[in-house]
Amino acid sequence: MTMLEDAVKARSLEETVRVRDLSELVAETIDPDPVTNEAKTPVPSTQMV
Amino acid sequence: MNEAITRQILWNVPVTFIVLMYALLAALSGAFVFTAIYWYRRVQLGTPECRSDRPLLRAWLMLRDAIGQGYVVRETWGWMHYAIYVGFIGLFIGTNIIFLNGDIRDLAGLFGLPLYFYFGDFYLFFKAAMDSFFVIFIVGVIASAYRRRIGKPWILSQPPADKLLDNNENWLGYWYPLLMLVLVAVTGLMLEGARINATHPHFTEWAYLGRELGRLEGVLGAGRSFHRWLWLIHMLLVYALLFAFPFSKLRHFIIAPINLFFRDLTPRGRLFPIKDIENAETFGVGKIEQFTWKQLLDMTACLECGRCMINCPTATTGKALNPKYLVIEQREHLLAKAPVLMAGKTYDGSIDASEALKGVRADADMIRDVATDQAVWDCTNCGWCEEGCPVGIEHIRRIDDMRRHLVMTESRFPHEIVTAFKGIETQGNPWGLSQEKRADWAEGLAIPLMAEVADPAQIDALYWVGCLGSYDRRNQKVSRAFATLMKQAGVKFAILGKEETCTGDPARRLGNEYLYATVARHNIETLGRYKPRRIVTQCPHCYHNLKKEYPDFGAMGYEVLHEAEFLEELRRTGRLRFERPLAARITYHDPCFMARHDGKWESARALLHAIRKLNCRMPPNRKTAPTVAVRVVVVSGKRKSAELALTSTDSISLYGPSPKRWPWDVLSA
Repeated sequence: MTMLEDAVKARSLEETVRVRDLSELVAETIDPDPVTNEAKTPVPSTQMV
Repeated sequence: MNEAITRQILWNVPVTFIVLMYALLAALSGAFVFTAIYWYRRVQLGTPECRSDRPLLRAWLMLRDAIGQGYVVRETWGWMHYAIYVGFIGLFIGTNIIFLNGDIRDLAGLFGLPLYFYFGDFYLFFKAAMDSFFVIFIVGVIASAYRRRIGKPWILSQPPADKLLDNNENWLGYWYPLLMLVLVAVTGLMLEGARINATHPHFTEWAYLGRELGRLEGVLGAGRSFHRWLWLIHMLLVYALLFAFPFSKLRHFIIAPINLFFRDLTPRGRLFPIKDIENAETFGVGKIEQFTWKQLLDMTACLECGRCMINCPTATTGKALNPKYLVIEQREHLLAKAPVLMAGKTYDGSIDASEALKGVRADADMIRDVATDQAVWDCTNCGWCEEGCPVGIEHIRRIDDMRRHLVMTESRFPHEIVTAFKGIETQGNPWGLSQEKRADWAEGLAIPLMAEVADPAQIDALYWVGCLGSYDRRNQKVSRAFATLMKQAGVKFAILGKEETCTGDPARRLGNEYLYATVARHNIETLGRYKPRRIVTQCPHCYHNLKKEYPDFGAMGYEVLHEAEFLEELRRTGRLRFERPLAARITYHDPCFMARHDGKWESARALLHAIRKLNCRMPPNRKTAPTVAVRVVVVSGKRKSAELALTSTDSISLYGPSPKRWPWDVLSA
C-alpha cells in the first residue's frame, strides 16, 4: 500500500488515483450506525472521481 | 472394409536401408540410456529430499500439465508450442501405428494374433489425419522460427556468454532441433507424394496434401528411384532429429514430465524450518552440491522459455536477478563442477581453469560468482516465477536457501537489513520503533486487549494487526477502518497490543531463520495463552505465516482469516449491510501471499461485486497478479482516472518503480 502510494505520488497522480484498502472502501458503503459514529471519524471522507 | 485400400509398408525400400534403419534405432536407444545415466548422476549429487509421497496425485498432476499443456498455452505464443506439440505427437503416433502394422504384426503373427488394421476406412482416415497434423506442425514450427528470429521477445534472451558452457546443448541451440523438425516433416510429406506419384492408387483424395505434392514431383520427373533415395534421406533426417533429443533442448520431452511429477505439493512460497538449528554447523546452501536433488533436477529441467521473467518484479525492472538466467547459470555450474564432485575430489585447478568461463567453472563460488550476491538479495518472494513455469521449477526456496547461507553462515548481507533484524529482535518490528507504542493506532476506538479480557473463550476473533497496521501512518487508517467495521458488525474481538510482535516474516524471507524461529516460538507461546479460535488480519504476510508456516513450529487450534475473507463472511451472514452504492472505478490488487501463494482470491471479488455501482476492473489478477511496484507504475502511466483498492501491506522487498517493459495494459477499461 505504501509502495502504491509512493508510485502515485511519483507520477503526480494524487488528484486522480487514490489507493485504498478494502476496509476503507467497504466503510463507505455502510450507513454509519449512530452508536459507533464517532469511531468513523479517522476514516478519510470520500470524494468520488 | 476393403483390404485393397492400403499401401505396402516399406514399399520400394531396399533391405540395406532397412538394416541401416534398425541399426540406428539400436544406437539411438544406447544414446538415450547414456544420457539418462549422465543426468541421473548429476542430479543425485544433491542432498536427499522426499518427493515420492502421494504418487497418484503426482501422476495425475503430471499428466494434466505435461499432456494438457495448460501452463504453456496460457501465455502469449503458447499456441505456437501447442501446434508443434499436437503435430509432433500426431505424427509420432502415426509412425507407431505403421510400426505396429508392419513389424509388430509379423511378430504377433508368429503367436497367431491377428494385428492388422492399416487398410480400408481406417487407412483413409489415417492419411487425412497425417496430412492435417503436418499442417498444424508446420504452422507451429514456422511461428516458432518467426518468434525467435524476427519477433525476438525479451524473455528469450540468454545469460552472458561467459556463463554458458561450450557443450553440445548450447552448440546445437534451438535452431538445429527446429531445422530438423521442419526437414523431417517436409521430407515425410514429399515421400508420401512420391509414393502416390509412383504407384498411382485410385483412392488418394484423403491424402489431400501428399497427392498434390506428388503431382508436382511427377511433373518434375520423380519416379521409383527418387522415392527410394528420398526415403533414405528422410530416415537419416529422422535420426538426426532423434539423436538430438538427449543432447539438446529437446530433452524436455522427458525431463519436463519427470520434474512435474516430483513437484512441490506444499503451498507455494512456504519455507521449511532448518532441522536441529541449535546444533547445525552450516546453514542454507553455499555450494551447488548442497542443494537437494530436486533443486538440481529443476536446473536440468529448465528449457529457457523465459515465462518466469514475464511478471518478475526484478527482471522487468532491470535488476540483477533474472530467475531464468539464475537457473541456467546454476545448471552450467553444476555441469562444470560435476566431474570434480563425482570423482570425490576437491578442485585442484586441473579441470577447466579457463578464464572465459570463470563465472560458472568448477572452482567458482556458487553465490558470489555464479548467482551473484545482488541477484540473491533482489528476490521479493512474490512467486510469479513458480506460477509461470510450465515445468514446475521451484525458484523461491533455492534463492532463500542461498540467503540463509549468506546470513547465518557467512554474515554477508546488505547493511540495511541489519536494522530490520535488530528491530525485530529488540522491539518486535522491522523499524525498531517502540514496542510500547504498538497499540497507539487504536486510541479512542475502545478495543479491548486480550490481556484484559476476562474470558478469552468468549472472543469471536483475535485481530492480528501486523507491524505496518500498527506503526505506519497510512496503514493505521486501514486498521481503524477494519476495526470499525468489525465493531459495526457486532464482532467481539480483541487485540494483543504490546504482546503482539512481528511474525518474523521479513527475517525468514531474508534468510535469518534463527531469528524467525525465535520470534515464531514467542508468538506461538502468546497465542497459546489465549487460545483464540480465529485470528483475523489485513496483512497477507502475517496471514501466510500464521496459517501456513507457524504450524511447523507447533502452532495449532486456530483458524486464520484474511480481512477480505472476514468482511465477506460478515456481508454474507448479513452482519454488514452495504447500504450505499459507490459509483467509483477501481482495480483490485491481489496480494502475492494471498492469491498466488495461498490461492485465496474469491472473497475479495465477492465483496467488491456486492457493492452496488462499483465498476471493478481487475485484469490481470488472481494467480498472475504482478507485485505492487510493477502494477502501480503502469496504472499511473496508462490511466488518468482510476482508483485502487488493495489489501494492505504487500511485499517486503526493496525494489523501485521503474519497469522497463510490461506486457499488459492493467486498466484497459
